[in-house]
Amino acid sequence: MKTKNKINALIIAAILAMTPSSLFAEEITVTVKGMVCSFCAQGIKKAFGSKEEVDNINVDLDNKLVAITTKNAGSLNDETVTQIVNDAGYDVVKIERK
Amino acid sequence: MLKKLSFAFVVTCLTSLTALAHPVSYKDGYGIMPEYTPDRQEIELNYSVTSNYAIGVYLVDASYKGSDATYIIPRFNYKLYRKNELESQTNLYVSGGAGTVDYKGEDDLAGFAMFRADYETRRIYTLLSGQTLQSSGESDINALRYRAGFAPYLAGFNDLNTWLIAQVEYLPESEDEWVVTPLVRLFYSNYLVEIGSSTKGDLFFAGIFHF
Repeated sequence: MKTKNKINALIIAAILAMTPSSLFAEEITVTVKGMVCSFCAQGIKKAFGSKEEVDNINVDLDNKLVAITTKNAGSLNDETVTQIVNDAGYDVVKIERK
Repeated sequence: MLKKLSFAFVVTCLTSLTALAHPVSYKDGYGIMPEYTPDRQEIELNYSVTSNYAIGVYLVDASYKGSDATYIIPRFNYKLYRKNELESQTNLYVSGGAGTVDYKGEDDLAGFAMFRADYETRRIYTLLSGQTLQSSGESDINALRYRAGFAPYLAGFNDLNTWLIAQVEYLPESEDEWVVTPLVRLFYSNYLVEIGSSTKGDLFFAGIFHF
């Protein structure tokens, strides 16, 4: 029985090790005020892009959204996200996560 | 000195092609902003310490009463006001600095001050700026600029953006005090270029490169 438990634990550990990291990814959607120009908004992309936790960034000027995909859920808290947007010269309206 | 300025201008043009109008960008951002007209060539190099202020240097080579005046001025730029709205942005920047001017072979002390106010949406853009270059010698140069422009189409973040802009300048020390220049602004990613021709046929070229 003990051997069987060990094997099960080993299998679970192996499955977890092979699980794509994207399964742990989190998408953070930030509504930003003042983002009316793609040239000026480059700073937002650059700032988030320099974060190791960030996997991908998309800027949607039509809806004033910045979508950030992180490698791991919870790696960027709201305070950090707000600080990055403020450092780029913009204001955060709201932050949503999924 | 003129050669050095020309070299810096050419290098900048080749590496970036650049004047939106923001001397302060984002935290830890660099901005290179050259501008060319036959009577005046200048370049701004700024580093934004925060999104509220930037330090930099301002190099100007301008024709003044038949001779060239070359200014080298370390400058401080401050974002005095910004209002971010969902559909618009309003800014007021002030800048100032002190340095030297080479005019007719004489080196004099020089000072610089300016303001720059703008309002923009994704469709319209307007700007008013004024600046003065003062020296302990003869060469004082002042300029006032107004711009109004619009985007003929709404471009996305990853698209080429196009703006059509009318620029009016008041240059009291110039032979032509009033200069009207229609121009086209194009930008993509962190590269921006403006090309126009004054109603008298003089080339206008400017740009910005942020990195």
